[in-house]
Amino acid sequence: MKYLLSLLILVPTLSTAQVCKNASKEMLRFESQKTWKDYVVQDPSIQGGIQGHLDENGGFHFQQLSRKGAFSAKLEISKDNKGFRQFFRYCAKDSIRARDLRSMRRDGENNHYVVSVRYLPDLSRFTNKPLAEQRFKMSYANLQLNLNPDAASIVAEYRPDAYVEELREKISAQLKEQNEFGVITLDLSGHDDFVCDLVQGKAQLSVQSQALSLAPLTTQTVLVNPKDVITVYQALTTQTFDTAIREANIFKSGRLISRLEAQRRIDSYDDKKSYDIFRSLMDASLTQPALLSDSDLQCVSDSFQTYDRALIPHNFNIRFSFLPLGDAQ
Amino acid sequence: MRLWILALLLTAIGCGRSTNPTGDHPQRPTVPEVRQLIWGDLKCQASAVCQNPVLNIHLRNLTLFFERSFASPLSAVDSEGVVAFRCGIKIEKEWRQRFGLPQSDKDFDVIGEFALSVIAPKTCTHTTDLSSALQTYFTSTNEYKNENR
Repeated sequence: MKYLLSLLILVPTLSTAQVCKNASKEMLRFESQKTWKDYVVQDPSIQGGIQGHLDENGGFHFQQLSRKGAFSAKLEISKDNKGFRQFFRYCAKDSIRARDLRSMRRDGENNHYVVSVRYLPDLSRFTNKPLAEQRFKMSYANLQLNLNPDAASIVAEYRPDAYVEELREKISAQLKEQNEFGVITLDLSGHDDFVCDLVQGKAQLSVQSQALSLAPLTTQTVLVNPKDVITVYQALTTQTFDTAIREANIFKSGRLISRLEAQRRIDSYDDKKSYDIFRSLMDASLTQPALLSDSDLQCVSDSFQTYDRALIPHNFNIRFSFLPLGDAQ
Repeated sequence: MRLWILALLLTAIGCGRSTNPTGDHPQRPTVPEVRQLIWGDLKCQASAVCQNPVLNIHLRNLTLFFERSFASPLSAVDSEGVVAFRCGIKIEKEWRQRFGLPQSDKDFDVIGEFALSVIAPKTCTHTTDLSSALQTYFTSTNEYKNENR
């Protein structure tokens, strides 16, 4: 029996932003989470059919779905199901008795099936482990559910559209109740035939959603306007400094920054902050401006920001699909 | 007669100018005769405004300015570099408040050089003999040199 499955998952990525020599851990955290929610990874290792197996507890599992720590999918079938053994017999590849699964549903056996998708990405790249310790709530979930005409759950259904709609509502309702990040759990109990369709790739289920997480995020507080750093640096570089008279140069720089403030070319800062800005733009002896590139200036700006790690509501995107393998290519 | 003498005295000490009572605004020309008593006999005074913005300020006001604000060290706890930097901020702010914002970058530089001739940035105090320092500055100006060749 072949099980066809592919998953598309949105996962975070590291920012390619400039990394400063003396960047704080907090700043790196902030940079690393800037674009993490906008990156799509498609598992490249999907090939061929996917077999299922019974584990030692009697649960039924897809195989070979845990790849690179990116995601895994699992179908758990309770050993206590009245139709436990029948399910495997009726849902076997090329079985002509798939429609008997519909009878199991309609007879109200209420066999227990739980599909879970673990889509937690590999977090080792992230300095701040942005998703590892949080829970979330989906703010919306756009569920796409399509069944092939020969799907067991609709082939002999009197009103197939109504049944699909019933399934859609049931799954949508469950999606709204998800609260563990990285795992979506769908209880499909009582839907023996639909579970079989899902496993055999005759039912395509995809979810695109936005979720609200309570992620520990690193936030940035701007203490020095980045453009002020550039303005001060430009002003300093146009000055003539006599490197032999250190105090006079420092004195001159203090006047210069004060003048820029008075002219409203930069924001107003207290003396200490002004001195810190000045010092960060000068060479070690404070006798002349340091040679700084644009990215160096960016790093200087970053060094003046504060970073706080806190639990902050944060929206992120989720997209995954159960699709026949051929369709996923 | 008494009134005439009083007027002369007020003029001599710089209080009798109706156009600019404080005599310290660089944009407003002061009465040339008064400045002659302050800085000496400079031809730029005849045109009412000297190119050197410092020379457009009453000597007495400058003396008071430094005596009031730069008599004691800025702070003993800060390092020398910080003191010098804060001193620069201090004089810039207080000069602006007292005499107005320098009109040009050149004026800004001239005022800075003047300030450094009477202030020690390491301590942010004026020199021991402020009067001499001011006179020395005065005699070093181009205006003075040009007119005393």
